[in-house]
Amino acid sequence: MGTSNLLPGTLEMLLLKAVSLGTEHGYGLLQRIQRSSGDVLAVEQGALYPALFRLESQALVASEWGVSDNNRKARFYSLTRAGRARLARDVDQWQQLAAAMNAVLNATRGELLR
Amino acid sequence: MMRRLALWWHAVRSRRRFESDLDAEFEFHLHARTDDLIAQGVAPDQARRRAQVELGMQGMHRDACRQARGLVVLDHALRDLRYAVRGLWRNPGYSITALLVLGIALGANALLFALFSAYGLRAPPLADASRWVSLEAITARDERMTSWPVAEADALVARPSAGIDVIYAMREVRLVVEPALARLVGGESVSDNYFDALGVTPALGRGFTAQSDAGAELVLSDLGWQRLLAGEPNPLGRTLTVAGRAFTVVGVMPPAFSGTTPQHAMYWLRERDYRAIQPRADGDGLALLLGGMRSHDSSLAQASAALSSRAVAANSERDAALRVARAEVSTRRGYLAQSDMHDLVQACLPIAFAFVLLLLVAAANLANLVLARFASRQGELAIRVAVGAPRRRLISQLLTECGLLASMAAVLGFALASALLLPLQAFLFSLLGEFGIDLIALRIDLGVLVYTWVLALLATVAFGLIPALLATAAWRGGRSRPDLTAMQRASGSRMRSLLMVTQLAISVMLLVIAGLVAMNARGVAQIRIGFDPARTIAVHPGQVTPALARELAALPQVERMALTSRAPLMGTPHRIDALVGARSEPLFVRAVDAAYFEVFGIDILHGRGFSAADEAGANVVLVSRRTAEHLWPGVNPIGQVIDLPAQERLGRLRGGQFVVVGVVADVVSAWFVSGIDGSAVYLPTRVGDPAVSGLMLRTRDTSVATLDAIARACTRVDPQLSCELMPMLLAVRIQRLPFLAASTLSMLLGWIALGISCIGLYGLVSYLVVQKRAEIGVRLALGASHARVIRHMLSGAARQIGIGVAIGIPLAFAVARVLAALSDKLHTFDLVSFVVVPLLLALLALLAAWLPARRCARILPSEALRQN
Repeated sequence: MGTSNLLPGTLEMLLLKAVSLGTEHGYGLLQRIQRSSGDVLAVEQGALYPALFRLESQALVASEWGVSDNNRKARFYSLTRAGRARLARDVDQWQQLAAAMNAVLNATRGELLR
Repeated sequence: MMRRLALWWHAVRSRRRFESDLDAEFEFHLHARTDDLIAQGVAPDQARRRAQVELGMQGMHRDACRQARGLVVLDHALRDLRYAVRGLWRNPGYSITALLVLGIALGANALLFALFSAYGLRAPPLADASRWVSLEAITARDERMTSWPVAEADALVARPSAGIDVIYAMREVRLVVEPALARLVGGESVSDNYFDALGVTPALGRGFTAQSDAGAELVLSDLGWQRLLAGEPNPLGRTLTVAGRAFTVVGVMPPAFSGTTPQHAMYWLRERDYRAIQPRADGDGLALLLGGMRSHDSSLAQASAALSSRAVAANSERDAALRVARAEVSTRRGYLAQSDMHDLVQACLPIAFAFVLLLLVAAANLANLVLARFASRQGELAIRVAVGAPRRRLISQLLTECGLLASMAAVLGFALASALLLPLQAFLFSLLGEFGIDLIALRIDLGVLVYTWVLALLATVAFGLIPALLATAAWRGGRSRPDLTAMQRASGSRMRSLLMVTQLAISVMLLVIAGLVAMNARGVAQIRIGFDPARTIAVHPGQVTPALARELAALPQVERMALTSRAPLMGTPHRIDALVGARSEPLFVRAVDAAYFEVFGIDILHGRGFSAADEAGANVVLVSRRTAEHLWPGVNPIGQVIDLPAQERLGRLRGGQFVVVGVVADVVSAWFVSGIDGSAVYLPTRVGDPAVSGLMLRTRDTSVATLDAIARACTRVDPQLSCELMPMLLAVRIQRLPFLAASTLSMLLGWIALGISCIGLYGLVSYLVVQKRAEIGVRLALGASHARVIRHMLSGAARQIGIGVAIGIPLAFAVARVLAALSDKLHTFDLVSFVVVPLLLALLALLAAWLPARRCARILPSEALRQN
């Protein structure tokens, strides 16, 4: 199964979505994205943390130190109210874009001439 | 935004914690990934390595995290600062030159600002200074009048106009305070509500109250307490005799409060007590300054309108010349009222201009030095670009070095200004002190520090930005490979020449102007005033009574006494439009007695002097030689007739025909700068004539004991008499003071500018000698002689000096024309200033370049080439 790189600007949206599913550490968020995409989307691991720091600076996510399942110290991220609003907006925009792309890609000659 | 700032601040404050958290987070990621890989069947030792490879370049990601927190800018700034400190430390010659050049210029500017801020910007310590206002009237001819007639002032104090909560009245007074009789003591005569209105409370005792039955009361300033009561521990209740009347000290003000004018008051007395001791002070004229506190709920415009209607309504009581068109309430910001502030700004502008020029010389000089330094770092800059630094990083790094220099220079300038402030003040105020006027002390405060710093930062932009842009121009537009032509330009000398020429031209201009000012001052110092001011004292008692004249004439210290309507060098004599034949001629007229010419040693050239019979009211006059030559050229003036109109002034002069009976020598009696009096006509007078306002005494000496004896004699005749004593030598010195100050100041500025230019030139040439070591080595190796190499190094400097002088002289000439427009009495051409001064400057500049250039001779070609 091949993996594909993310479209620019989508990493933050995916991270917000992954955080919205429940408080989780960075590595867990990475796994959520990969699993839910059926291992198609590959997030560059190192780029994950700067993106999380940016989101935190914009107050879209909040972080807290805690202990992981295997008893290690880890930083856990959770969605803030502003993050939730941004996620809803971003998803909305994405779906409009995707619908438009689909419409163009599925267009037939007949439809265009009509 | 707030959240971002909070996170940033948290990260900055606990930076170590931020870094350890970052480590922990990446470590956790590696562990978690390793565990996963092991669970997927990868061997443990391989799993860890693979996890690391998958995570990628950790250093880069960490940097990206720091950047997301805004820490990178700070890191860069700190790194730049460390780098700048190292760079300056390694080039001590460059650093010290730059520090001196900028520090001296900044120090001079800080001093000027301290002077200005002390009088113009600093307010006395009032309870609510923001509401403090002054009340001024403006005539139909738009003349501002800061003082008010007594009756109007009293009415406004008793019932303030709308928009002002409280109005107080005050005037500056100078009175005899025993036991020191010879020197009048300055204080303020104020309305009862003065201290309450200003919201200042005494450090000891109380202020004034409105009770009218209380005896004469005095409040002392802290300095007054030290001077008048020698700082005695219990000043309250003590009695001081002021103008012959006993005053009880009821309070002492804290040291910070010295009154509301630039003059440091020694005491305050109540206006009604002042009127009791000086009944003649109550004329119709303008006497009292008015100030007050604006209401919270009223604007200045509203308050001005209300005051205007009150002032205009009182016009009928005023002399025609003093009638007002409107009045203005304006916020008082400092010790000077609005109109005085205006005058101060006007007076300071040319000086400020000269100081700014000085700073410009320093900035041009530094830009030059910085340019040379940056140009020599092209190699280093190229390496930094090659490892990924963008151009703006290079610029910010170069500017950091300049900013560090400027900050250090600001500290140096501030220290210089602090050290020089007191000597400067002592110099400027020495004569005023002799005259019995104490001005509030100058102080270096936070404002001066901030001003110096802001100037330093502005200078940084001026001297750092252009060189930084030029030095990095080769990498414009994000190139990673340098643009070679731009690189050549940066190391080229065109910009450096331009800057050198600019500062030399300004230096030449400043020095030539300084020379001109000094020449004028010398002219004033050497002017022949035509009379002997030594051992003469002018006494101005207000009115000369026969008893006073007798008492003074009888003093053993007094050799001779004369009467006059106005003492020489203390204002212009009365101007009267006379008829000479059919012509109308404006003549300056002074009423004197026969002894006047004897007291001052003024020779009678033709005819005779005044006789006792003339003094009784004969229609005769004496004229000066210049007057005679002007009115009757080539004709014997004796027996000629001048037709004088009747005058209210000059003791109600009866008009009529006056016959010239004598011609006396010319004198300078008005202003030094105006030179010999254009016309001088003397009318006879005698004791009892209301025209007489002053007595001229020739004494054995002008010691304090003599002055004291004269003042005591005045008080004996009338205890309320405040005799103003002015030794004529002091009057001469007071007239010379502005010229002395101007010439000292301009010479100082000129020499500092020259010094800065020479230091800069010296520094620049030494730096170039070091930089061009290899080139010089090649030249020497190819057979050039040392002398020739030195000549080559000097030729550039000589050309710049030549062009600078060539531009500076016409510039100076233009500024001299502007100065000439200010006063037609100033001489604006002087061979020494325009020829010798620039020549001297050129020679000095050449010397400054030659000294370091000589070092070329010590370079050994083999060594220079090996180093390369």
